[in-house]
Amino acid sequence: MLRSPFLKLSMLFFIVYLSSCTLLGDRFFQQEDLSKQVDNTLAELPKARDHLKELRTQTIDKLSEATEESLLLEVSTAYKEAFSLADKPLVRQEIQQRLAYIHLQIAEERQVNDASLPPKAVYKEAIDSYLALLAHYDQQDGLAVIQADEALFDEALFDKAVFDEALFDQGLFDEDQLDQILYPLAKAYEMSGDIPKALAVFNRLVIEAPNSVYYSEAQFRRAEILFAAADYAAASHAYRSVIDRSTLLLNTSKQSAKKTDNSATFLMNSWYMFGWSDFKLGRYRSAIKAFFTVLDNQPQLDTDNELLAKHALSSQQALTNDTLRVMSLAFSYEAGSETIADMLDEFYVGLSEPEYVPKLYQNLAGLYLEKKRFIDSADTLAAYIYRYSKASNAPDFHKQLIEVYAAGVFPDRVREQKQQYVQAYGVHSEFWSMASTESRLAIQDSLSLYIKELASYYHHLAQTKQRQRKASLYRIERNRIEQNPIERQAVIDESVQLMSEQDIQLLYQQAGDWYETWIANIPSSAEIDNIWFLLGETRFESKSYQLAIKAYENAAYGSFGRQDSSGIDSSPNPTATEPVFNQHNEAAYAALLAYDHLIAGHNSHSPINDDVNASKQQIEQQTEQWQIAKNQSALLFVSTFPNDNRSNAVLAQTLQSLFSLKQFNETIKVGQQLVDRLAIDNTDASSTSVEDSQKFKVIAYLSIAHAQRELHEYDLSEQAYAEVLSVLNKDVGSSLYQQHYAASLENYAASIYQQGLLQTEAGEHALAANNFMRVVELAPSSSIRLSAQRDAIALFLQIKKWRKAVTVMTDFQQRFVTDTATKAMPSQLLLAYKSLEDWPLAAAQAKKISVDDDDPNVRQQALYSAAEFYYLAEDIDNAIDSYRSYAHSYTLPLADNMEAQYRLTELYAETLALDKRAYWLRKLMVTHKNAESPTERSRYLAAFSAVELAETTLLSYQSIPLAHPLKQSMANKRKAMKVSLDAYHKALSYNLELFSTQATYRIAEIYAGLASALLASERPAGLTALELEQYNFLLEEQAYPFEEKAIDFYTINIERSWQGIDSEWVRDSYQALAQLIPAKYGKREMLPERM
Amino acid sequence: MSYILLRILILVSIVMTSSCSSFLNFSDQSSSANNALAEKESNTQIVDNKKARAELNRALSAIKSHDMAAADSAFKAMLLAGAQSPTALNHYAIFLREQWRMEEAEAMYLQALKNSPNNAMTHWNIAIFYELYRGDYQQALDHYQAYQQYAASPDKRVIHWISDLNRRIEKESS
Repeated sequence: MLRSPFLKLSMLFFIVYLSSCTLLGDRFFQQEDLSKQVDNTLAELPKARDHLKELRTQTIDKLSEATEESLLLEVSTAYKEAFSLADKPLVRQEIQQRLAYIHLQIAEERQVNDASLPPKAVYKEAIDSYLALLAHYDQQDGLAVIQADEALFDEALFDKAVFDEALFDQGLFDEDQLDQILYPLAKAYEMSGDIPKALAVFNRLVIEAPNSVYYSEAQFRRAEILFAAADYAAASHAYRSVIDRSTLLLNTSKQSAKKTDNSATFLMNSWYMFGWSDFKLGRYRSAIKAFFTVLDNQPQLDTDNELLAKHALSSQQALTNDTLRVMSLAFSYEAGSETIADMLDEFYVGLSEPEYVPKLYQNLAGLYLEKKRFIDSADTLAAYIYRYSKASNAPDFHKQLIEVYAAGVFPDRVREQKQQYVQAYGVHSEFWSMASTESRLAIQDSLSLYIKELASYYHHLAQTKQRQRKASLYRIERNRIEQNPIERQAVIDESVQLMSEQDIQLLYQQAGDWYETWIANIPSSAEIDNIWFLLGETRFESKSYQLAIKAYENAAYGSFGRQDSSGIDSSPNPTATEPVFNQHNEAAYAALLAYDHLIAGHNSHSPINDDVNASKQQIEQQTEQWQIAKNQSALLFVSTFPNDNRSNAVLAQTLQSLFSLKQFNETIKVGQQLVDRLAIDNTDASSTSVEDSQKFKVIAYLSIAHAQRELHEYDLSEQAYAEVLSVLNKDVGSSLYQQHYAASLENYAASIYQQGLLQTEAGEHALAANNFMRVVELAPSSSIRLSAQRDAIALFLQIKKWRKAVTVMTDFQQRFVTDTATKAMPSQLLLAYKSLEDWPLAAAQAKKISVDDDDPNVRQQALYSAAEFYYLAEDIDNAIDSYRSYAHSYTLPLADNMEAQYRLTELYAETLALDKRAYWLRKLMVTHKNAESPTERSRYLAAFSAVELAETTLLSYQSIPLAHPLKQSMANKRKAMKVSLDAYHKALSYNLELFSTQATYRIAEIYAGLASALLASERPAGLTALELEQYNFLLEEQAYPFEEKAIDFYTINIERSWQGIDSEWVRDSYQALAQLIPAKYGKREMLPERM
Repeated sequence: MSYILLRILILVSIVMTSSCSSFLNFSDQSSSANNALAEKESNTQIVDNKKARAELNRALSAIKSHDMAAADSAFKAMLLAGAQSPTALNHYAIFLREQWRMEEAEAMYLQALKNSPNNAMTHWNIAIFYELYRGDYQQALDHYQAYQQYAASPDKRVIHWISDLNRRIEKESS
């Protein structure tokens, strides 16, 4: 069969096939051998061992084994037959070599197919075959057969085996044959479990065939065996040889050479194991460098098979992790994170650092943590954070750092690091400004957690310290009161340990700062309102009331005044359906309380209060601004939380504030708002008690009333005050009543009174007086009632409502006896009576004043007035009595005195008491004569009196008839005439036209009358006609001079008329002269006829 | 001697009194004089309009009724109606003199003379006005003389009055 052409052809095929199988077998060998060696070597490193297993399983090809052994046996038989037929040495050697390989393959098949077979037995034939080949090779070269004893090898031999690049390139080496023998032999030894002989053969191969394609593998096998035998130095050397050869080939670009030694295949494993070897030798830096090389040269996965790719990736990751772990160990044996940094700086100068750098730190930190070396672990993480502060994973490292401290129970450091975390990555950090939205979102949870924890911590601490302080101070005070010095001292000693109030405030301030940070960092949190509230609480406790107010208001009113500086969408989280905070009204109310403290000057942080140079005016202005702001907040509270049972109280307080700020229109508006609320409360039977309702109603109406009064809307304020009184009257005697009634009544009265005043200014006196009287009627007990009644009186007098004035004045006099107005009342009453022309009352009032008044001038004037009023009342007796009393009592002023005398002359004329009249006429003349400063009036009255007295003498004179005997009667007549003439001449002496013309006329008349009387006198009886004629002549002679005298005096009056003087006496003088001298004075105008 | 002289004086005065008594009824005298004047004035009279005449009549009626205020009002209305005649103005002037409104009376006479300078009645009246109510003898003299000039026939009494006035003027000047 073998001789047939087909068989020959088949043999050739098998020969070629086996040649190819050699390579395949190499691969098999390579993998299994490595597996065994490394398994042993890495026994103490579980991960490394696992990895090697994976490597082994990863590259196993599934071939059909069942029929392979029989096929190989047939081939072996065929080769043996061929060997027996071959006669040429080279052919025989070739066949022998083929047979050796086939034996090796058969052994492998057997070992695979039946693991129970003893390896030595299985590989014996193969080993023998190769030993035979080797022996033949040695005989050819004259070399002794290599003893399978490694002790025979000198280390120096390895260094002598120098790689010859030219020879390697040409492939003309002896070891071409030798390495083909040594390599499978070594393999067979190793597979058979005879490791020392395998090592010996490998040793010879690397020494005697340094240019062999098996060189790298041989070195690698050596290294593995040596490593497994804990000969780390030799192993390291062997691994290094693989690396050097690979590096050399790479650098000399021998990848395309005809011969390849597969050094690259072992390169990474060599680096890896080289690292391990040096690690074992304590050469950590060298080891780390090797590991860096391994990590930096991880192959790129390039396969379309997803399963394989996944498998490969998993293996690669395992190797990476293992490498990293051993590196961590190495770093930990060196200077830890400092070494990492040093190595990185050394390796990657000018290059970008590898991506796994974080893992270096992280693994090192993890290693420390496993060993409970918390500080080292934390320091490692901190080193990374420090070195890579802008790295996107820096926050993660920081978070781990915090967790490390937490695990180590270092609370202070935890807190410190949380603070640093917030500072480093919070919204105000440079990191945040540079970070992407994803990065920001990634750290927000931690930010939120840490800030809240920090805030809570400081808040809780402050509260605890505050409670302790209060409790201690309370005990001190109690002991002081109980006078227990011993316990008191003990408590005082204890209190020394207490935190000061300022320090507690600082704690609150710190807590508040963290709440602020929280808000700034997590503005869109569903908890935001609660945090605002807590911020308010802490600011309040640290007496930063302005900040507290802002926080409280933000908590209460949501977006009210909120500023988002985070750069993250602060819109409410739509997923946050569960309310986290339900105390908005409490926050709003707390803001108002904070305002109260602020306004009360308790804000120790106010820039104004801190400024010692701030003027009082500045402080007042600031306080006013706060007050205004508080009022706005209060109104917002009420509008936002209308059902809060404190709303009414808030409104009530706001009202008082608005009023104090002089915001009167707003006061009225808010007051009405409160009134409306209370009205609704009443109908709704709200929680407001009756007492509170009444109290608020009083405050509301009072505020409205006060404001309206300030706005001069007195009619409206009157109504509001009336409402107050109405409410108070519902519970007379209550504390509310006692507190407000009197004042409200006063204000009520004042409002009405003010209406009166305004109307007075507007000239509406009647309306004003009515309003003043309304005060009297509606608020008779008010203090302003007196003024009102007094003003009403004045107005009634002014508008001449005399009857009303008298009534009100009479009442006033009785009620207010001692009032100054009462003292003036008699004269006002007098005016009223006078105006009413109620002369009897006027006279009586004047008489009363003339007696009672303190002022003598008033008394004097009143007496004169009394006299006049008595006269008007037709009470002549009292009039005369008063004038007389006046004339006698008050000589000055001269005018009044003389008028009184004059009035007496008139009254006595009326009563026909002519003697008394004559007395006062004479008195007038005397008074004028004696006056120091006579006046025209006094001269007139004196002249008048003189004429009046003369007139009386004229009557006497005219009453005397001229009868027979004429001589006697003439004597009497002339005597009377003289008296009368003297009287008229006296009157003329005053030289007053009015009375001069009269006196002149009377004198003329006296003369003319005497002449007429003479001519008409009785004639003696018994006269003859002649005697009678002579008698008549005699009479005419007697009468003529008197008539001439009469004409002269009449003419005087005529001439006076030429000077423009006119009087009845002048005109009568014309008449008289017209009769006495008609030719001269009887001339008359021509009266023209009527037209 | 003195007695004889006294008697002579008495006689003279009696004569004068008797002569004066013939003038007692002044209105009679004046009316005769008026008649004389009427003839001469007819050529110079200024005829007032109806309104003026009516007002004058109203004034004169008021005077009769002693309603001097109404009279005065009517006279003023008369003037406003354009009265210019000596008759109208003399009525008013006499009324004013009786009311002792001397300045106005004088002005009215002068106005009448201005309108009718040759009116004898006006010269008569103003002459008496100056003599009795002003004591202005010279003016009185002038107007008496004018009367004599313009009257239809000179009045004998006026001759005596002129003589008396001349004497008094001479006495005053001495």
